[in-house]
This record gives sequence, C-alpha cells and structure tokens, in this order.
Amino acid sequence: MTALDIPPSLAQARPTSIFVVAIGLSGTAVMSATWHGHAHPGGQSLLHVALQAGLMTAAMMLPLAAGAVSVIEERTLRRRRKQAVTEHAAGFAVVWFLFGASTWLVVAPAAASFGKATLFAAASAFAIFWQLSYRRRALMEREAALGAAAVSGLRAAAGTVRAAAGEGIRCMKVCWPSMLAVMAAPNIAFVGAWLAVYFYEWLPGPNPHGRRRRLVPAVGYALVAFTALAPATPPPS
Amino acid sequence: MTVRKRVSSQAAAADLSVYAEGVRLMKERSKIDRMDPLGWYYQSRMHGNPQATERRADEPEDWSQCQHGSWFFLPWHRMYLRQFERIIQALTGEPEFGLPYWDYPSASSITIPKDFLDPASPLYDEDRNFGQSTVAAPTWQDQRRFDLVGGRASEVPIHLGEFPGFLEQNPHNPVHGAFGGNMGTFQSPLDPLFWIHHCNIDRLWEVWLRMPDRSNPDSRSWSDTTFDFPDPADGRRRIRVSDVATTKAAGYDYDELTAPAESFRGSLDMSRDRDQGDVLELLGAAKGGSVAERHEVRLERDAVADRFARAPEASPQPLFLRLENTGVGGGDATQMWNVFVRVGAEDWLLAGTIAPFGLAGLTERGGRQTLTFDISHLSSALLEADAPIEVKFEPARRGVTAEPFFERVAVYTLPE
Repeated sequence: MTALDIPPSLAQARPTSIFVVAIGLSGTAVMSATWHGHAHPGGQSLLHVALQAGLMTAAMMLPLAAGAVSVIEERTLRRRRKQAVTEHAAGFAVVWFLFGASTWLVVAPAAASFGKATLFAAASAFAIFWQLSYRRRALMEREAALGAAAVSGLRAAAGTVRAAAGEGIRCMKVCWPSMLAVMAAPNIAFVGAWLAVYFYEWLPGPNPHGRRRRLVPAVGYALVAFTALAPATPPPS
Repeated sequence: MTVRKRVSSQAAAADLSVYAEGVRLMKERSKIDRMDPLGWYYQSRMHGNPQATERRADEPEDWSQCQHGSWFFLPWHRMYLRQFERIIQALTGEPEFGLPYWDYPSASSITIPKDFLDPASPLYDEDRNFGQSTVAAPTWQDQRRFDLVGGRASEVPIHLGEFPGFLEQNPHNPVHGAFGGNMGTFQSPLDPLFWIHHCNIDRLWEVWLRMPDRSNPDSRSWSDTTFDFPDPADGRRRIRVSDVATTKAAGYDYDELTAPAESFRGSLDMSRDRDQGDVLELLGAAKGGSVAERHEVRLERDAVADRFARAPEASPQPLFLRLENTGVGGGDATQMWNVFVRVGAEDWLLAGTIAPFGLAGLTERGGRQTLTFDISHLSSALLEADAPIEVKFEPARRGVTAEPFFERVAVYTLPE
C-alpha cells in the first residue's frame, strides 16, 4: 500500500476523468501563478472576480466531479460519452462558479471592514469546526444518486447538466466553509493545506469513524502549517 | 480451523445447540446492559436501525455501520459474522464452534429450520411475518465481474449505496423480504435467522470465487479499507478487507462449496467479463415510472450495430436490464415485485425481483438504487427484431402495497 493510492473512479483510468482532472491541475497552476491574496480590501473588478472564481472552480472542484465520470459514461451511449462528460463538468462547475463569484463579492468588503487577518482567522476557525462536525460527516456519507438523463437529443444534454448541478450543490453543502476560508486566505500555501486535508480525507483506509479519527491529526497538522505560514503572509496591499 | 456446516445436516446439530446457548447468553447480557458491545441488542444496532438511517450523533460509532449497495457489502458482512462467531465461541467456551449456514435453494422455497420455530428457543423471533413468495431464480453464478456480483466500487464505505451486486439483490434481499418483521429491516440481526442467512451469502461468495475466471477486486481502495468491531479477546479489532478476502484468509471453511450449474451463459465466450474496470455499454433506455405501469425500451439500432458489429454470430449475448435510481415510498423488504420482460409476442419471462431491503429509508433521505437484472435469454429476439422490450411488474407475495418507482429503465451489454 502506498500512501497515495488513488480512488477507484480514477483507478479505472477513464480517459475523460483524467481530462477533467487535468483541467483542475491546470487551473491550480494558473491560480498559483496569479495568486495575490483574495480578500483585498477595496473593490475588485467583476472580471477579476470572475477570473478568480473560475480558477478556483477549475482547480479545486472539477477534480471532485471526476468521481462520477464512470457512472456518466456508463449511462450514456458510446457516441456521446465525451459530450456527456463535458456537460457534467459544466453543470458541476457552474454551481461552484456562482458560489465563488457571489462569495467573493462579500469577502472583499468584509475584509475591508474587519481586517484581512480577522476575516481569515474567523473563516478558518469555522471551517475547522465544520470539518470535524457530525453534520458535515453525515452529509458527506449521505447516499445520493446521480440523475439519469434521456438517451439522446436536447433532453439528454439538459438532463446531464441538471444532474451535475445537483451533484455540485450536494458537494457545496459539504465543502462551502473551507472554500470560504480558502477565499479569505492571504497565501497560496493555505490553499495547499486545505487541499492536503481533503486529499487525506479521501485516501482509502479506515471505515467512516476511523476516518474521522484520522482527520483530527490532519486538521492539527494544517493548524501547525497555518501558524508556521503566518509570518510569511504578505501584508494587505 | 473452524468449519461451518449446513444447518439442516446432522453434523451441525452440536453447533446449533451452541448457537442457541450463545444467543441466550448474548440476550442476557443486553438485558443487564443494552450498551454491552457483546450483547444481542448492541450487535443488532451495529448493523443498523429499523429505518436504515445514518448513525445519529449521540449513538456509539459502532452503530449503523453495515455496508450495502457497494463492493463493501460482502467483506463487511464477513467481518461481522466472523466477530459474532468469536463472541459465541468466547461466551460459550466452545472454540470450535462454527456458525451454521442456511442453504435454502431460493427465496421461493424456504424451509425454516425447526429449532427456529420453537417459541421456547432463544432462536425464535416472534416478530416474523413469514409469507411464502414467488421470486426469480438467482443469476449471480452467471456473472464473472465482481462489480456485478458483489457491488460496484465506492470511494468510501457507505451504509446503503447505489449499486448492489447480484448476490445482494438475490437471494440476499428476497430472503429478508420473505420474513418481514425484524428480518425486513436494517435491525434484522435481532432475528437469529439473520446470522445463518448471511452465513449462506458468505458461503456463496466463496463458491463464486472458486468458479472459473472469477476474482475479487484488485484495487487497494477495496482491499486496504478497514472496519472496526468489538472483540471478546481484544476489546476492539480493526480488520482489513484483504484479511477476509477469502475464507482461508479469514480463518474458517465451509463443509460444502459446490458451485451451482451456470445457466446457458456459461457456454458463451465471456472472457471480456473479467475486465472489471470498464463500464457496461448502454444500448437503449426509456423514461421510468412506477411498477404499476408497463414500460417499453427500444434499443438504439446504431448502438447495437456498433457494439455487435464484430461480435460472433453466435447468440445469445449478455444483456442486462437496469432500473436506474429506484426508490419506494414506505414499506419494508416484504414489498417485493417481480420483473417480467418480453419481446414482441413472446411469452413473459421472469427476469428478476425487486426486494426493497432498506430502500424506503434510503428514498426518504434522497438516495436511490440502481437494480440490475440479467436478461441475456432475450438477446436473440431483442437484438434481431426491431421490436421494443416490454417490462411489467407483479407483486411477489401477498400484501404488497408499496409501489417502487424508478427514473429510467435501460438495457446494457458488456463492453467489447
């Protein structure tokens, strides 16, 4: 067993799921290169907000959509599988894009009012609390079926997008506090820390309650990382 | 090594007595302390609660941990039974005890062992609502992919997942459905029949594994996953799926592992069945509805032509009917429906049985299940004729009122 065993959906190596993950990795790279700290006091242009939300969606959320790719492909005629996966990615991403863009518009003024450090500390504390809560765990383990679309035509496309949006909303209910913390983060390393927590959480291994026990030290490590990174945080621009 | 024997055999008589005594002792422990992990009540709640809902925050972490509807169904229940067996061994001081298995031919022809019918016996459960049912014959023995037999891959353990395997769908679910009462709910381990029923399902997994060209998943996401159980010697025990992937690995054996005859599909070239990583191939689908209605699925001719263009002329071909995102509003596992199919003016054929074990609870919280039935015996007529496949449903036992519904009905084949 290596520490980095990949989940079964990816282990099945569907080319389209690799494609979706690749978009996510590209988004991560661009986001890393352009990161200046999100919650700038003061106004931001809509274009900038849209760009940041889009990058966050591509980098952090699309890889999560890859888990459903094998089900999407199976439920689709071979000739339109690629199209269906694209529709799924779009439907999933649009939920997170709207969440990201609308939250950004709130985070920036909040940072201006309360201070960037205060906002980040409050968002992180809430995210850690949520991460360890029973409520989140119950939502994460809740069984939910991906909607089955029509076989062909516009109804097929609409059904796939609608099902993906439902999947995106379920995902958002589980992850929104940590995404809020990420958006208030002053340093790209904090984003990496949250990604590490997520990845650790989804590694194969213990059963649900064992998984939770494993999560506690993970969040502890993240806190240590946050503390260590704090001095390196650039002052608000 | 512990050897598990057929419950109806003379050889199992001693084990059956030990089983009864063990159950009595476990019930006694629960009377003294309901939260005793080795007690009867606590063990039943480890499986689940009557509504098959998730564990509540104020409940022990052991509770509501059973795995259904995914590839963890078989290994989790094997661990559960093995630990239960160890508890009986420890409480009775009988280290050679082996849990008997209940070798019913099918859910349609169940004979309850007489020890379980005596109201004075610890093996009796007054809550049973037994009703003879007529259900489809199991077809697990014809499948060579683990995901079809044991359930589909799930990234994380899941209490009641979306894709049960053939063994879970039949005979597992219909036997629960034949009894109702405790057996019809997720707290079914309250009925001593549960344990010998699951012992048989466990045996059938091993039988399947020993048939030609069968194997367990090779993914570490499956084999490295662990589950925790109370243990009479160690207090708690963490068990890895790979520790129980075979009965030999788990430390016990069965007295009888003869494979049942495969149906006609056994004569086909099914080598592609083993490619478990590839998804099935959709050939056609139609909007779903209720089991109260008839449904028609017309295959997409270009999909059929594309898929079978290079296939050998020989028929039949592997075909599966799927009821996707199936739910039901209320009722327990007794609310069983038989699925009939036909092409053109042919006779209706019984293709499978919907036995909604836990499905009402799942439906209530927004989940659904996709049920799969082997309809290969229709392939010659279906692939050659330009007629739709018709699907209808009939109650499989008396007193069925809950009507399952599904989002889509679809026909699949194995990938090339």
